[in-house]
Amino acid sequence: MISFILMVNKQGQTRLAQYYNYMTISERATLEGELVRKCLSRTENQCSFLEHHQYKVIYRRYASLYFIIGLEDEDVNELSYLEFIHNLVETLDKYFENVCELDIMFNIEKAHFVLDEMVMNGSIFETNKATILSQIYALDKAN
Amino acid sequence: MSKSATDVIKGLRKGKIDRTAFLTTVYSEIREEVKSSDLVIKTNAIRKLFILALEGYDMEWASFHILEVMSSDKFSQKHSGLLAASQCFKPNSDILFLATNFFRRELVGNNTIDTCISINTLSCIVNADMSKELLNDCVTLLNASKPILRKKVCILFYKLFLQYPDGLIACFERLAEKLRDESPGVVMGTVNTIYELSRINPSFVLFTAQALYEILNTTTNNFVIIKLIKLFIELVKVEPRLLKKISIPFTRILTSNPAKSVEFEVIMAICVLFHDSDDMLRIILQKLPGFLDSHDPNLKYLGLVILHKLIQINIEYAEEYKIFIMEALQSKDVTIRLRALELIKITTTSKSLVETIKNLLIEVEKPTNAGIKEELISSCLYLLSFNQYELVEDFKWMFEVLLQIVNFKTEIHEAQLSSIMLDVVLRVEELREDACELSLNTLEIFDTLKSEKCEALTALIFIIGEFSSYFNEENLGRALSLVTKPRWELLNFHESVYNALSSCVFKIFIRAKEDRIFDACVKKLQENSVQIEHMESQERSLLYLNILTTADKEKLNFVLKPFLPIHPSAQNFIFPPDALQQNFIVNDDELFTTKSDGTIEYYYYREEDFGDIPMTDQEKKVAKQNIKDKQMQDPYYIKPKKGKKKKGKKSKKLEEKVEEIKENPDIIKDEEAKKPPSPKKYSVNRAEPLIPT
Repeated sequence: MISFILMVNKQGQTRLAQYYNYMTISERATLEGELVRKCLSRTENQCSFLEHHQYKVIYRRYASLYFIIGLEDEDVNELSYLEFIHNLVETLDKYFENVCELDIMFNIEKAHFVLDEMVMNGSIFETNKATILSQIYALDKAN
Repeated sequence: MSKSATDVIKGLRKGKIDRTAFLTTVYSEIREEVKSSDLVIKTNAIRKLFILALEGYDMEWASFHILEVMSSDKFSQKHSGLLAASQCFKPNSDILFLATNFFRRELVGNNTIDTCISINTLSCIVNADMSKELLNDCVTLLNASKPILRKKVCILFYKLFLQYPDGLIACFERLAEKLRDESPGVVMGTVNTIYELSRINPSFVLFTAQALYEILNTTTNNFVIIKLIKLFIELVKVEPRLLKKISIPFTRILTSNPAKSVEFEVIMAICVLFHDSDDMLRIILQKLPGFLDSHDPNLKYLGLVILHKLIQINIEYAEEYKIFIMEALQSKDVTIRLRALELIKITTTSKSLVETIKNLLIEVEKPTNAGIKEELISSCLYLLSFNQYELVEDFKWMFEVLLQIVNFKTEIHEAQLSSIMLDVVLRVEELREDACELSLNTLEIFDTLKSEKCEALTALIFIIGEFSSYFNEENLGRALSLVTKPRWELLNFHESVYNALSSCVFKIFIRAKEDRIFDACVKKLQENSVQIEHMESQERSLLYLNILTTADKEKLNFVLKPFLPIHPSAQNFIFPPDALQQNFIVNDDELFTTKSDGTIEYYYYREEDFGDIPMTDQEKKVAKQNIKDKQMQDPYYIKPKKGKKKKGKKSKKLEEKVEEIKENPDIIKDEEAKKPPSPKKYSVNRAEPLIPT
């Protein structure tokens, strides 16, 4: 079960934060700051997995944005979550057409919607891009 | 004109503005706008607040306004409200009561999209009361025509069950039917929920095993395969017969599936479930270099995780992969170093212990390891004390290592460190002389050993005091000059240090043979009793001082006997003295009072308590009845359970044993002779019975 999914840029500014366990605002801010600092101190040659307090953290940098997933479980298949991050980014890319950090900033609600179509309750339940995107196009029509 | 959310973002991106000032302005604007009755303005305010939440501003005060926005009919407003709600509604807040009806309307409503986004938010915020109310509506949704709704509801169920477990029993079968749904998304959702439930109670979901097996054989979605593998591990714990059935699909997946993540998952599963199967292990060993030798650091990491599991199965693999482990410890990547540390913990043998500890201590001093210093030291202590020091062959070396670690000054480990030091010196007799000298050397720089609780310092002082009989005169003098230095008071240590110091001085005096030492000790104790701030320490110093100056030195020789460790069960061999064998009455007042008219009122009515008092049977009966009546009327008296009181089995055994020993004291000798001789060079006193042979 995923505990949180974050998109944080290199300056430490959070662009998107979805928490699946309740945490107060101050806890969230501390967590995000510490995680981005740890990610920034790592190079490309090092693995994408971290341990932070009780969380197992999987992250990947896409241009200026770090995509970070945190889990509290014991037996975590880290590689599958890395693949999920890639799947998420590809879906966002298809929807926004060459997505960049600005797209997410200015369309935060839509970005949340894409994420909510893929992960709910901390479980990944849909990875088929076509299905996800058809939902979102329907949403756009309703708007 | 009020800013839109986009304006806020653009404003934040402008280079030269003062961010905090800008944000504060926006925040105060929001506070005004959100109170407006126009939903458009309100929604705008909520959207801006949502962006501010990412900057760390709290949203909770606006909960009621968010609820109003959520209830709007316009889709965009509803969506904004729901999104804000999912971020900020606290799990136990009162707003959730108000929201329940709203969600119920949404769940039964006709608009698919509205229901979808409501379910999204619901999964974040649902609590126990809401679950109870909304459960039935969710069950209806399970049969909705649109697969998207079914899919979402299946996932929602896990949260509902967590909050309201009673609902689980009623609805779970309906949920399990969805495993055979035509839409793959619904199946995936159901599998997820069942997996999470199986971690809590596998036997409950066991009946779905057949359906899950079919899915395992047919699906092509890697995420589903991974979840199913994990699920089956949980199910096998309660139904071992499943093991045979799943070996076929697992082998198929292992050999055919190209995805590394699936490969990793199935390898881990096989290590857990099939650790006896040689064929499977052989295939895994073939696959392992694919991970360890890879250039991709992620695969290297996973390789180390697999290696960890393999070594736990069979320690022989450690030899082959030793090089990998040592390389990994030197890796630039912190995560890989931590993994390597875990591996070192399980692969160190008594032969390699010295080398390993030396390497670990070198690593501790490197500045690149500042983040994992604590883990490194924990690993050292773990290895040294593993299985009651099984790996250690040279205890003098071990004590030196411990003193080295004391100098690293990590406060977290001090308690463990001091307990290991004391333990080892107490148990290993041959070590004591060396330990005393080494402790003395370390203590000469006692100012540097100051920490919050000073546990290490206390331990060292204790050692030189307790075992000072091993000192020659010169060292004894050194020890004495150390403990009588005036700097102790000035440095303001923790209380326990001064207590230990007083005891130490006392013990040294007993050992010493010269008068000047006696004078020095007395003087030191006098000083301690006045100069140290802690009351307890002063009192102890005075106590020891009085004993020293007034008692006969020969009578104090009992202090020379060192502490010895005893086995916990040794207590059973000591039988209590006669006086305690019978129940004796401490104070007559507890048993009865004499009332003003001369009659006696009894509080207890156990037979044993009446032993000393002369009473006729009739009087006893009456007394017992009086007491009983009084107890029944007393509202605070807890009535004993009905039925016979069972006499504890253990106490019976103990009594029998005591009887046996009383009759035949040679039994103890026989039992001692039966024990096998200790195989180690050093005699480690694990279980020395107190009754000497």
